[in-house]
Amino acid sequence: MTLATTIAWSSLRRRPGRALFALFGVALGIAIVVAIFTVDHTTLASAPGGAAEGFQADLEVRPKPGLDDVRAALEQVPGVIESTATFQSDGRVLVVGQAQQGAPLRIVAVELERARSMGLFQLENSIEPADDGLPGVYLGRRTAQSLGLSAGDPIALARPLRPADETCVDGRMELRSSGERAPPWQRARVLGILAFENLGRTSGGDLALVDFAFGQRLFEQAFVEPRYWLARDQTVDLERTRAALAKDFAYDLRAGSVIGQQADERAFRNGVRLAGMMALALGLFVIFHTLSMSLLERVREIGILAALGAGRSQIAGAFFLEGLALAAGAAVVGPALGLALAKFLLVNHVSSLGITGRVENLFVVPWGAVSALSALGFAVALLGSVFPLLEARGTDTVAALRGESREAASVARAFHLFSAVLIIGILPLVFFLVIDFVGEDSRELLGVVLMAVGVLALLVGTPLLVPSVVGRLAGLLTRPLARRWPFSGLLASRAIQTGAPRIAAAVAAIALVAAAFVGLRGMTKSLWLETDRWADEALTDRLFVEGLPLVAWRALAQDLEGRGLVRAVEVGSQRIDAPFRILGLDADQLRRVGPLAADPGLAEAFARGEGLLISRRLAEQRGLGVGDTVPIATPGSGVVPLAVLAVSDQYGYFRNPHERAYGVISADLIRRLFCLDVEVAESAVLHLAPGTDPLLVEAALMGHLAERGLPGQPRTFTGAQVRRWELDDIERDFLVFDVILGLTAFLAAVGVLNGQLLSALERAQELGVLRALGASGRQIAGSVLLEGAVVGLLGGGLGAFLGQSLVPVAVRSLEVLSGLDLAVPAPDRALPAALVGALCLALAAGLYPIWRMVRTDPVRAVRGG
Amino acid sequence: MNHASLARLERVYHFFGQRAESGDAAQIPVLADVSLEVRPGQFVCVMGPSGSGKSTLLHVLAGLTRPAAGRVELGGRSLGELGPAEVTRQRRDTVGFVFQFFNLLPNLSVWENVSIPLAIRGEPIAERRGELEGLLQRFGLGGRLPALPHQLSGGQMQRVAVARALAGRQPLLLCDEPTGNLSQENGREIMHSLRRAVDEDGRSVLLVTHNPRDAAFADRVLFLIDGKLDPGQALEGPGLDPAKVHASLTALAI
Repeated sequence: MTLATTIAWSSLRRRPGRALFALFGVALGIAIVVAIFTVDHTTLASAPGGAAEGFQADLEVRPKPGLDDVRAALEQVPGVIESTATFQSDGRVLVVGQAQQGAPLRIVAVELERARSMGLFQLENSIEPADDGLPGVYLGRRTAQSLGLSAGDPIALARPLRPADETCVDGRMELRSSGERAPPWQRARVLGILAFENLGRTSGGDLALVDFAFGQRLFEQAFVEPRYWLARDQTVDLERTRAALAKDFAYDLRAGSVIGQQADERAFRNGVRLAGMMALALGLFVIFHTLSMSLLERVREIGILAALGAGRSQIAGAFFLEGLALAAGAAVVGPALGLALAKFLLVNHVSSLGITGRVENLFVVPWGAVSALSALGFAVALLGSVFPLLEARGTDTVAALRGESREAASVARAFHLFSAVLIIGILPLVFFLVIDFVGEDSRELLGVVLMAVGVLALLVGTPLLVPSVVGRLAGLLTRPLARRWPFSGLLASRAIQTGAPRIAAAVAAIALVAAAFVGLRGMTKSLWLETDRWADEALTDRLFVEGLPLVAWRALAQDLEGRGLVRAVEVGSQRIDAPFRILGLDADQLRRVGPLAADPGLAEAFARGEGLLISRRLAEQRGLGVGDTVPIATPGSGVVPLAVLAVSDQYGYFRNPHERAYGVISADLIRRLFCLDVEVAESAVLHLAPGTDPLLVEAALMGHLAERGLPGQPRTFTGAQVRRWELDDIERDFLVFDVILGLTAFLAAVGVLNGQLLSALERAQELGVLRALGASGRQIAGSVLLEGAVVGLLGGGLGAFLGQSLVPVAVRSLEVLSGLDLAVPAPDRALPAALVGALCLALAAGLYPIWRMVRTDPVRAVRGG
Repeated sequence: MNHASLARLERVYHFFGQRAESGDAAQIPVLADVSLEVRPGQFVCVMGPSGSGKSTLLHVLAGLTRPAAGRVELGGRSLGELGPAEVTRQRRDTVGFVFQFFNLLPNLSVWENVSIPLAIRGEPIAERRGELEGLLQRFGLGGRLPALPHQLSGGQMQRVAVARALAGRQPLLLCDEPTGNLSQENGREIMHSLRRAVDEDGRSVLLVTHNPRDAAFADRVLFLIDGKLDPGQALEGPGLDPAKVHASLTALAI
């Protein structure tokens, strides 16, 4: 073995505890980021695709009436990179040369080239168009198989004879007979067979895909409303696209296509990634600290090797190899640990969209990101060994032989300057180059970067710039404790004085975790307050009823109102997504409560169907206000513009499904536009008279049903219950952050532990002499605990202060990102909790060093050499 | 330049706490106009009271410290004309070191400590395994090859240090108070092994000590008083009487 391998291997082998903690520190940092990215990737991959046997475009729009140049309008919409006009209808297909009536199928017309570039269809096989002037057609797999057709075969297509067309006209379904002769067959040639993916899934594969122009000829004498399918640029913020579309289009966004892309989801996902980077930085800080502080312990070793004739490169090589081994070990252990952690989180339903974003039976590993993160952790950890390597080259041999070393403070200062460059400069730069943050390159990204660098600056800035200040503060804190335990206090204050940079580094690590904890609690509290405020409006004095046996709700309402229990009843059986959730509620009921009760004119306008009421969440999401126009797509009347009459959460919230973004129109209007029955209800929301006991209402409800012999057991939920569940949901959603925070706290504890272990090693001879003079293990242990207590109190205090200061900034950022109206919460229990938690963490971190120190043989310690 | 010398100091000056090139006359001299020569097969001892500059003399001779003035030759080459890397190589090839406080590498076993000079030079250890094992056997350490330094007694550690110095086969051994932390018996054992290295292996030894009993093993004893070395006061051996050595030292030191 070479000198470098001999020294490096023996160091790792003979000090396994130190090697293990250093390796574990980096590995855990890598593991946390790998877990985060794997959970996020799997969360996105879990987005539901199209229906099993159908196709639903990610984004479908219908132009408002009167929009002349649809294409020009679409080109102005940010985030739209391609579009195709489309329509579809039933049709018939005939195999040329065979005597038959024609088989039914679905005819889908698109602009073929555009649709192909958008990836809307794939072909199993195809041929080039022939010069025979026949339009080309792609057949679905089932049609081709059932009719025995293949590419190149001639066919004929026709629309069906128009049946009596059933359309909703002014609240009545009307049949309109076409009175036409059989539409002509039009010849075409099969150019290929569609794969059973995307569009090829339409009607289970029973379709013909034709060019839009040909489709228009096929349906020349029939009205088919064209729509547009859009391809979206995923890097453009969804909100910008939506806002631009809302002006001229009714749009339908497939929920699964935008999972994780909404503003609040982006904020959540970016926050999780940022937390991951904090963890990685802390892990790397731990290994820097360990490798570099261990240099002080091994200065004499360096002197001996130099005296024996080892060159500086040979000596530096030993340190480099040791760092390489640790970094390589971490690069292997870290990802494995991270994937295991990701699996654990997903199995327990924790996703990157909170615990409500459940991911079932899926585990998709982003190997590219995992490899990149592992390589990043390996490279930066290896760079961290450069510092002791440089120091090793510069050590004065004679001084080292005498056991003298560069003053600890100057070595530590150099180390922190070096690590500052690495952690503040190089790591974030490489991290942001390697890993994409979610969202456009905009203010929000800059804000994330600035916040990240700011927090990292705290981590390394404190020990670099103000170790003496931290040392003095620590000394001040030690004094009252030393009065109670004089000897332990003396040892602790001496350790703090001589190791001020080490103490400051430990304080910074603890402060980082404490600040993150307080900041997160603040953000959670702001969301909690927002939900609570919404609940005041939407849930107070409510009773939610589900599973009603299609009861005639008016009779029920009359009964309950007659007993003085209920002021108004909202029925929830009528809801349509056009393009957002719309409920039709009885105007007479609504005018008894809320804004409509206060403004009779408003109530009249609503009753006449002149507009809609929208929830506050919908207003925030779409940037709508009173007087704005919202285009509503209807089956029979095209796109109908409706004015926003009021913004309120007093009406329209139903527990199942939970949706806070919706619009409310009068029941009469929903019947007219959508031909929906408004007289029976499966679910209802009862506005209770103030002070009414919900149990009485429930009893009255059950009595009403029993009297009429109506079956079933409807379920009831009070507004207070729903409020509790919604507030608890917020805590559950942030569980992923709690997990990351817990692991980061563990990392910080490892850092504190490492520092105390190294301090113990540095002072081994001193401690050995003290033990020889009669100091007990308990007194030595007491000094370590005192030091830990000081670190915990200082770190917790600094972190709590910093975290609370950052809460308004964090809440404001969340507000901008999510579009929610959030309040900055007042300081609460999180502050003392951070302080107590930091104290416990620092004390716990001292337990292993105490165990090592008490076990050390004092004779061996005093012998030296 | 005398090629017969293994190591040579010519009018060397060194000051306390200074860097090599400063040489401020107002500073306290550790070495003042010191000249010294060690020839092949010679056992030279430099004696002086504590703080007289003995260790500094060794460090300067080994190229670990540059003197303020004067010429240092090691292995026939002037160290002042060499760069740091060349000085290290010269030291590696010419000098074996024995320290007062043993200075074994704490994480390496006895076997690894003894073979470290070979690892430094990149020599394959396997070829000399038998020789090194024999050397350790001679020092009574044959059964302690895997032991770590903290598992050894003081005497055993110093024997490992001497074995390490001998394992490198360098022609010159520099010994800085090698018996300073040992019992009389252990110390005598170490000195006998150094004497054997000169008589049987043809090595040269430069020993610095304040112990007259150790000095008595030398062929020539020089006295370093207040940084000055007076060859005229040297005692010629071998077989010197420790009492006479002690008396000379005492007389010169007063």
